[in-house]
Amino acid sequence: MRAIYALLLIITLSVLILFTSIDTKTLFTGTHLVTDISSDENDIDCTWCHSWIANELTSSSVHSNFKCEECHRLVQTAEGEVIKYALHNQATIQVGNQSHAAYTPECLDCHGGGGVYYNDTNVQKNAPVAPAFNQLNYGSDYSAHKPLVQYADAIGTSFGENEACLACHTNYSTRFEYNRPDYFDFKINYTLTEVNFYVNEIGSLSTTIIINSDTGAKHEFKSPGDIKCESCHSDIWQAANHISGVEGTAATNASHVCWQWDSGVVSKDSPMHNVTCVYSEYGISYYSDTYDNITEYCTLSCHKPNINPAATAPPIFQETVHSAYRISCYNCHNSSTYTTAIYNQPMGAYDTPDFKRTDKHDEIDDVVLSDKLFLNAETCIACKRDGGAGSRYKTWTEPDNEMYDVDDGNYI
Amino acid sequence: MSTAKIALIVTVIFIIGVLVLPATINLLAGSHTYYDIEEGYGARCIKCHADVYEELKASAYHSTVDGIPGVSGDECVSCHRANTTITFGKEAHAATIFPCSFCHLNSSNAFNAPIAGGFGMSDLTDDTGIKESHFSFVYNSVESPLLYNESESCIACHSTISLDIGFRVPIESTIVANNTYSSDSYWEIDSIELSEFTNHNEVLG
Repeated sequence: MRAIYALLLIITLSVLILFTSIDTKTLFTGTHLVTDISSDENDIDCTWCHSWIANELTSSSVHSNFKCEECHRLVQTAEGEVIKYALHNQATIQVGNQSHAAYTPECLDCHGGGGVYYNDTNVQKNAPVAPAFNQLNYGSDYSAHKPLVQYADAIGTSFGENEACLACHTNYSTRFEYNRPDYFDFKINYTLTEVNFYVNEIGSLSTTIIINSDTGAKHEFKSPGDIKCESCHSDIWQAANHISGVEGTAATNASHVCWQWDSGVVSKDSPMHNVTCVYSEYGISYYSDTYDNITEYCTLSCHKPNINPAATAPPIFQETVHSAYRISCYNCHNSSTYTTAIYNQPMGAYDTPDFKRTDKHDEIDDVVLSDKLFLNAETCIACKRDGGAGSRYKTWTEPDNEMYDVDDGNYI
Repeated sequence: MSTAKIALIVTVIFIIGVLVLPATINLLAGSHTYYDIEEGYGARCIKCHADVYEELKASAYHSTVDGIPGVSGDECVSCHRANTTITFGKEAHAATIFPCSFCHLNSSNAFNAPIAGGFGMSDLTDDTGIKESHFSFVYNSVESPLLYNESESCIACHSTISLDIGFRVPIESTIVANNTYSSDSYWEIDSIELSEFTNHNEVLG
């Protein structure tokens, strides 16, 4: 009996399918069913095809409240460029010009110029500008990252300067290969009557690889406080964060900054360059304040210090840079006029860069400053670590930054 | 149910079937009844392409390409025999493949269809497309053999066709920077190259 009912059921279903189904099937079902795009909103949802980007944006610290169109269909950039997209709404049908559906924005389209742009609905918005990089030719040559931004703009891997912006401001991964001379071999000849400087040898290029592996997501933007200098420059931090051994031993005595001016002893009088002031690393509290993190140490101690607006400051700090100055010791320690010019955070006060110019020192300053930039700091640090006696030195570059007194045959 | 009742039902169904069926069964019924092509072709297309007809009825656009509101089937001919540069009977018999670009990249199209500007592919002089994110998608779909010209990319966004899209996305750049004993010894960027990728698959429909 059951077999009969089952048979009748099969026959009924077959008949129904036969009568309700269409006669032919095309390979591309749906091609003739065109979506209505005439509403005032975007009827073709970007996330239909780009859901992973929407997911990235959800995890982003910045721009997570933006819809895709805010950036990808902005109608006027901060530089004043007008972009005409294809548009169909209740009021009009507009033929696209530079773009049809979406445009790949350059970060500086909003963060350049004065930061005023008009979004997809033609509403005026204000974005924080990227200082220096929003200026003609990206601002000052003292801006440490200017070459990166210039190069990014010159190549076609992405639009505009985006490669450079993404490297720091998003979770996009970066692999850096830094090529620089392995060492410098130079002599500071110090006599009772004069000081001379000679370069004996420059080492061949060595490569330092720094892998900054992140999620790789270009649409996961970092908040400014999450951008860490040491992510891309861990070699420099390693060099700076290396407390010297006892003078005269063969211990590795690396240094990027000369924070030990007093014969291998941490100077409490000059704490500005002292890595032990990075609170999270050491928690040393014999100063009124410390650096909250390595990045704050890098910037406030040298590469972007707070300047006393009422003081005569080193000229370099009158230039506008984005995140860091390209700097050497001489930028601050070359005049006695910079009284209380630079904020020394561990001391909790504006400080005066040490400078004791003598006739003999004047000579070496002139000679060194006329040589290569990367030798400026090497000569300062080597001589100061050696006690200011002068010698022939061999100094290795980051990350090890060992310094060797060739004449005396020991590391300093 | 008794066997007698089942036999009765089967018999009744058989009799009804015999009465409603034509006297003879032809393997290819209707093959000797010819359409009058003087009346047009439109409705004839539906015979084989009813699925397209159903789609067109539900479509937001193209239902009036024949100049008459509503979908009758004449719309098929309006587009698929619109190419006046070919002679039907020579390059084509009944219908031509009809890319979206025939109208939507041609500002003098007979239907006054809106132009898909912003790809730099239309005949409008100010259509540069230099900022369009999907430019390579549209441009490369011209080379695809699936559909004619760039139609694959058009229907991907503008129709309800199912999609399975694979994106190969860069997630890492390698930046090479040099600081050499040159004229100034400043850091210079030697190269920026994409060095790691990941795949995202999007299935739609």
